[in-house]
Amino acid sequence: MFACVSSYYFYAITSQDLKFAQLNTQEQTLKVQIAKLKIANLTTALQENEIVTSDYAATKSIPYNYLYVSGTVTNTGEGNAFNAGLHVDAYSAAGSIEINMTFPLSGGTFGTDSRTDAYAASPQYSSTGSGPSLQLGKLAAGETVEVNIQIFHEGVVTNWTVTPVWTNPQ
Amino acid sequence: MKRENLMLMAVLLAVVVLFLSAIAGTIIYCNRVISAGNSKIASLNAQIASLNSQMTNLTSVNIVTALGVTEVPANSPNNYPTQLLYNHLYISGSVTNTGEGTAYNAGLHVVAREADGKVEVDMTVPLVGPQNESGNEITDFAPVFGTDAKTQIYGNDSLRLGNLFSGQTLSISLGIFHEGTVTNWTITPVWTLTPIPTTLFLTPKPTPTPKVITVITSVTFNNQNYEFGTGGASESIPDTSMAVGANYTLVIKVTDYEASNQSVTLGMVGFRESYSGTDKVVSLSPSVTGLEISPSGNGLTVAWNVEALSVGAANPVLTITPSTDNYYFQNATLSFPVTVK
Repeated sequence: MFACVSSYYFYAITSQDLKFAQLNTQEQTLKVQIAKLKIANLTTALQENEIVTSDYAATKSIPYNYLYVSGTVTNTGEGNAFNAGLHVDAYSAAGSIEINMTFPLSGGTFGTDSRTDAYAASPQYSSTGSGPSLQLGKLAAGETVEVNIQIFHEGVVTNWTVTPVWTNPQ
Repeated sequence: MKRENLMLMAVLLAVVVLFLSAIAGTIIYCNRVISAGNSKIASLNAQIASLNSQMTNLTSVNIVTALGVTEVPANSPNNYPTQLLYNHLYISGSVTNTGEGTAYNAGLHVVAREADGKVEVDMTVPLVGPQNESGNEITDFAPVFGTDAKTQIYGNDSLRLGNLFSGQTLSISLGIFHEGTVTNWTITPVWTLTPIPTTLFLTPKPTPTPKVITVITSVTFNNQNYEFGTGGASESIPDTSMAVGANYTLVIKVTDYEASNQSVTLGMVGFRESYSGTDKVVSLSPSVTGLEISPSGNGLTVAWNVEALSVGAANPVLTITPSTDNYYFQNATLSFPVTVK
């Protein structure tokens, strides 16, 4: 009798342990898959040029220089990138920071202060009379977008960094 | 009864009681272990259900359509040229992926019938719209498809399905030439959740590794020659104010290439407008099939399927003709990265 009872419970508990192991494996697999689906990764192929407007006949009437950023941004991750944009830091030769802003991947012409903002929103550059929104958008997993950003700023910048930024899905 | 027998009976009774107590204790203990195990299994099942739900949300696809469908008769005065040989079903509007996942192999399954119920169209078309933005009425046509060899005479665009990303909206504009006259139809969005529909292959096929294309190319632009080696490169264009009415023609010479279904992309970053007023006019004249032009901001990117270019010959692929003096090149770069399409 004792042997029968022991055998019954031995098999019951053993099969439970087996099921634990299976469920734990399934849970871990799902967690890994979900973790991947929640990670975006933005890679860029960009060119940046500082346009000194006074150097060219076609742009000498423009009162501000601008940094022109163009190229493509791709989300190589498996998760969608939210609040995706390009953070631009640019410095003059003297080391003063002239640009320290994050721009949306939808691009456009922007200013860095009230004066350059007003110029970027002027009819020469905006048919609507207002500058483009700085609202950041979404870049889906696997998606590539073309980016064209003009940043009017004070002074002349000689070195800069352009860094993709985003937030991962919650 | 003898005293010894009584003692023996007492000992036996004690042994039996102990034995039964041991069994009862074991049963109670094991039941508790199993009960705790069942609770744990229930908890794990609940967690897995929650994770499965998250997975479903993160990979879900939902394509919402806003489409207009018109049967355009062959003799419609709006046709170009007028009096076509076949009617066509014209589908236009937009499709949006409102899900969180990417819709692979996304398309529209179109079934259209004549008044007597005969099926004239039963095909899946890709999510495509106007093929280019050149402003050229002759080449700026919507993609067209045919349902058979006869109705494909007005062109037969690729039926290859593409991807629709989460949140992405695509404009749709396409025509399906067919026999007869259809009077009713259904348009159903279709897609797969994986890049390759597993149902296509009964046995797994290895995914072909795309060959890196090898192109040795030279580009002539504005009478200046630029040499690009294997794998592409970048060259600077001298600052140029573009003369009104002059033709600035890009000529590409491909010496050799490997593999097929590849594209080459030429980017002209410094192609600029001096201001973005409404009178800006520039004519971009493509002269090869498959040209895609997407002027955007102050750049211009053009791409060609390499098979559309004649190997060894000078291919005049694009002519830029400014109608105003608003165009110029400044700090411009011709970049010729060779990409796998």
